[in-house]
Amino acid sequence: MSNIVEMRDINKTFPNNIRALKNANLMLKQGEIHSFVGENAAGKTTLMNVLYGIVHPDSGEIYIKGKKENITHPEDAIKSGIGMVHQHFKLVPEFTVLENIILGKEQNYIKSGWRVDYTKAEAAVQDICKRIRVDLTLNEKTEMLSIGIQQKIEIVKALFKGAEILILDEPTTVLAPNEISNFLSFLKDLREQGCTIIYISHRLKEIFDISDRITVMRHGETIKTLKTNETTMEEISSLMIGKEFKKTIPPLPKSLKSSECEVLKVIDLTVKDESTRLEQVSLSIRRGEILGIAGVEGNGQVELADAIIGLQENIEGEIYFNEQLINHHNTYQRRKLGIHYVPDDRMKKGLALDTGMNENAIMGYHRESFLRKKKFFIDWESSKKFTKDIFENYRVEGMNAPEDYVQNLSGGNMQKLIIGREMITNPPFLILAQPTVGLDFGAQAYIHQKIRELSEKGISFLVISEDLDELMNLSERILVLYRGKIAGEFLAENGYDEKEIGYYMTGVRGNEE
Amino acid sequence: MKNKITLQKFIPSGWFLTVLLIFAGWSLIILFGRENPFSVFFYIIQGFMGDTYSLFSTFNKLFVYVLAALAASIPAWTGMWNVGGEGQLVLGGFMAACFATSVNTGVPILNILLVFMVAALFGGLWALWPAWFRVRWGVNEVVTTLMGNYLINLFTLYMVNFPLRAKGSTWPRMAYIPENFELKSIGNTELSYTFLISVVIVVLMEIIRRNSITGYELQLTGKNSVFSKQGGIRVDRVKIWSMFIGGAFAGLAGGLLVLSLNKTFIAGFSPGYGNIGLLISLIGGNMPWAILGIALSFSALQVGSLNMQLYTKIPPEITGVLQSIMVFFIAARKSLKFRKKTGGAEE
Amino acid sequence: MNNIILSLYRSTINMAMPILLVALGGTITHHAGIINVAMEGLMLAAAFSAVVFSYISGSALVGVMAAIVSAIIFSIFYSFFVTTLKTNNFAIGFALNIFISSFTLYLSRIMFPGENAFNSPKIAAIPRLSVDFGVKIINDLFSNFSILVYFAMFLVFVVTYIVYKTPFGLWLRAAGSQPDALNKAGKKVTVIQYTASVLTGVLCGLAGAQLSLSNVVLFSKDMSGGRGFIALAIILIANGKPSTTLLLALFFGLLESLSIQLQSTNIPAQFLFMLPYLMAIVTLIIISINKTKKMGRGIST
Repeated sequence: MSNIVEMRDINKTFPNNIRALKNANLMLKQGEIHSFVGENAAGKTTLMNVLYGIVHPDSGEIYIKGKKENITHPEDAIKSGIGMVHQHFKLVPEFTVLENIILGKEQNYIKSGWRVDYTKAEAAVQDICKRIRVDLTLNEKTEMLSIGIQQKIEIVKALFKGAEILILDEPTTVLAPNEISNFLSFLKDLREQGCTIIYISHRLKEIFDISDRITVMRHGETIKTLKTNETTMEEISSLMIGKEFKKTIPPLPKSLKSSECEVLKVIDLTVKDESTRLEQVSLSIRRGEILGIAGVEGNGQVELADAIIGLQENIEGEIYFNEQLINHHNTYQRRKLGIHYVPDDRMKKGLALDTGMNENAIMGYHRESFLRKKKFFIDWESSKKFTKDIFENYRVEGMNAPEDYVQNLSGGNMQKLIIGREMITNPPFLILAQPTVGLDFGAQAYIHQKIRELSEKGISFLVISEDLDELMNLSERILVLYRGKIAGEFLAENGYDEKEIGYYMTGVRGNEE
Repeated sequence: MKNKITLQKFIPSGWFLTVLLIFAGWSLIILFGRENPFSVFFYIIQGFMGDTYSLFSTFNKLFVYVLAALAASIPAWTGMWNVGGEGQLVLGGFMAACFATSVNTGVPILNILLVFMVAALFGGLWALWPAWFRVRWGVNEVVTTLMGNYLINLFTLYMVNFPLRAKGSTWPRMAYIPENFELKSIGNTELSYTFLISVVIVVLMEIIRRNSITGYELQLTGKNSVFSKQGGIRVDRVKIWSMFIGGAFAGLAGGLLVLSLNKTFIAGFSPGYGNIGLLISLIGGNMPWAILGIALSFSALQVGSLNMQLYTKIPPEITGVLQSIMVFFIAARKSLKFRKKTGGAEE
Repeated sequence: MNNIILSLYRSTINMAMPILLVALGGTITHHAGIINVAMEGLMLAAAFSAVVFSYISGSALVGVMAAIVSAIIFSIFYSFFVTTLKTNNFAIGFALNIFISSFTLYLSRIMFPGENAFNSPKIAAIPRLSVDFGVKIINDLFSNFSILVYFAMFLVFVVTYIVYKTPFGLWLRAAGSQPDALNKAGKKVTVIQYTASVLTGVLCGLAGAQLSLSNVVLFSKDMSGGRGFIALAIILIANGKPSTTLLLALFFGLLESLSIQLQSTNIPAQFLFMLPYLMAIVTLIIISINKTKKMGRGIST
């Protein structure tokens, strides 16, 4: 089998001086599933963006089916038979499934008067759906559909445009455990039909399930390419990090049992807008306890966190903090009581990207006396010290000066900055939503260690995460949120069963409809 | 894509070239009017700094531009679009004149200060309702403030044509304000207090912006309101306040116009100061210092062109043309500089 | 009595057409994701060009062509700054409006020193279409309007067809809703947006021509009178649906003609002229309240 795609010596430095790709290479064989692994910011997505024409390399060459190609725009890549499905789907919400699939190719399906021939288009799309055994209702509005189905739409879209090579960027991050196995079978099916797949992921279990070969990237370089059946997960991991992979330590049994004192108590919390987001959710957290909330994104986690921190309007039910009813407290007051919050979306909710590290670090503290000067002013000198503290204690890297804009930081460092900001003053209660997403193993382990240290000191945590491993590592208890309700509760002391929890996360077990 | 990069190399992004292009554009326009560009430039310059009188005239007109620009900028800090500076300014001036011609405490200082407050208050109120509707119901404040301008214009036009028209006036206006309301000049110079007021306000706003807690909350709300909200900032309140303050500045500008230059409310006294202020705020990046500088050049152009009209046949409308051409080139330069920084990597 | 209603009807249609045309143009760019703040200026530039070229050539058709060309030129200028340079659209829009307002008057004074308006019998007006249907009432209702009026009504259908039935329409709406999707699908968003701008230019050109060569036959200072902004309000309220746009344009036409008709009564003109603007505000508020009640505010923006 010859190389269907070759990328040679690709270099790219972005304007803010981040060296994203350093002499990166890709040799892709036809009909294989080839995985790209690496930590965050290793360059996997960037390299694929170069292949797909979204990013222009500073130097290097691309060969497709042996011919040198100049790819400057997705249109060129599509013409060469390359299709890409990103992590964040690019579907037009108001369009029907059919309209989204044929977007960009409508001129092939025109009838008289320059109108779109929907019948002809539908036939063509159904052809493809049948071939790959996917069932789609073509005239449904896309905004109504689930993420799993939207992902299928994206794939059909790529195939419709004639893709022989599919690039999938972290496709399973939006799927629940048992949906993943179906998806992986689907990919193997595609390979049987002659599709070549590039699979970007950091989830080794999946990679070892489906790939023929694996390429490891680190700091913008392609380190090594190995045949899957000639390597192990440990070898790949250490290539990814560059040091020995240590399995994370299971939670230490607490010497002091979490005290009986209830820090947070939620009773029958209900949040409704045009659908029911949370229904009769009740929970409580004791002093020093780490409570995990498991669930696939979109099952009420955001609403739960927002309700507790005071961002959710129209709630029914009661929230008590240290026995005090806080329903009518605003966010400022709740923070003053000691509730701190790491939001689930670091760029949209956790930071202001186009302003300095300082300004971001003091958010929430900007009215406190330790940062005040002469009653109405901010003491910027003290704030710089505060920021430095956070950076040192939480190993945030990438700052040259406190005035530098935060957008220059990598995703992982942004996350560390946010966590540091919220945790550094040892507040009695912390809500952490997806706290280690985008962090490499080392950083994740460090944060987990910090969380455990603080909980030993009596600080309570509500950890919301899609990463079940993380929750099983940290929490003494796990509650599963499914469709806005608590579907199940699991205790660490009984031993966590990942499969079982997964069933509750996807509604296979748990509350009946 | 490659074509765009080479295009960028040709379009200048240095200040020197920008200024050069501005003058080139101006010259073209002047040639249309069949005059010699250099003589026109000469008369304009002579007009705004030829002698101390001209210089002071320029300074005395500065406040309108500065305050009108701040009227748009302060709300912009929080992400609100105040396009209603014109209406707020006219309303402020109108109320100022009404007050001055009906109430008189006898003490000049008191009179003047009261007028300031009245003008600012009404300007602020006229910006308050669009702000509230935006925050509470998501009503686009661009449309409400914009329509509001037309409402105020028509309303005051009516008032000054019928009920409040000064008897015997050839052009619709109210009665002249009594002498102890007039804003005189500082000492025995020709420099009006308005200049001092505008400089002080600029300095104040810059200090607030950089160092105060309020300044922090205003700006962070604009940069990311969700982030600010979860940090405890009362984002709704901040936004409404910012609009009120913006409107107050515009209203104050109107009041100062009435007290210092016009001595009464005259129909159509504002040739779109509010909109020019919006323009200045946008190209000044909503920064007080930049606003001061740009406002100064607008004021200079305005005053200078009055002189130019005495000596050439160029129609007065050229002022607007010159000002907008300046905006085009400055905006182009700003955008190009920004593009070079982000370098075209989407995502 | 019938005469009054009839003349009200006819003047409503005449007053509504320029707003309708501008709003249709703005609808196209609205779908593409551009908020066209410069429509006021485009309309004014078109009105001026129409008069000047009609005067020079003696032909209304040349005037209309000139109007369209000038509107397209400025529309592309606006698009260049907003789409390519990514300048703030208010900055450029307002600057452009001020430029056109001043420049048209500047040129007008140079060509006609001493006058405040450009008025001359040599300006050729747009001819009216006088079809005789045979029945008087049908004639009164549908005949003897300027050609552009009939054309404008036709354009409502054309725009609806283009936006909702053709591939270009799909690309247009994708460009406004999810530009990334369109780019990745292989169609350049900038090209779509520029095309939309050209179309807006055409429509604003027609609107300006109707203003200065039909409703009245002259050019005067700022004769676009805020219609560009009312059109903006209409577009936001109608959310880009041409049928609703037509209704709203007719509504504003009605208000405008009412205020002119009622001028002969004791109600001061200014209050009547306020009506269109008040209605825009009230309608927008009602719609926003409904929208918010349905969707919830989300986390504030």
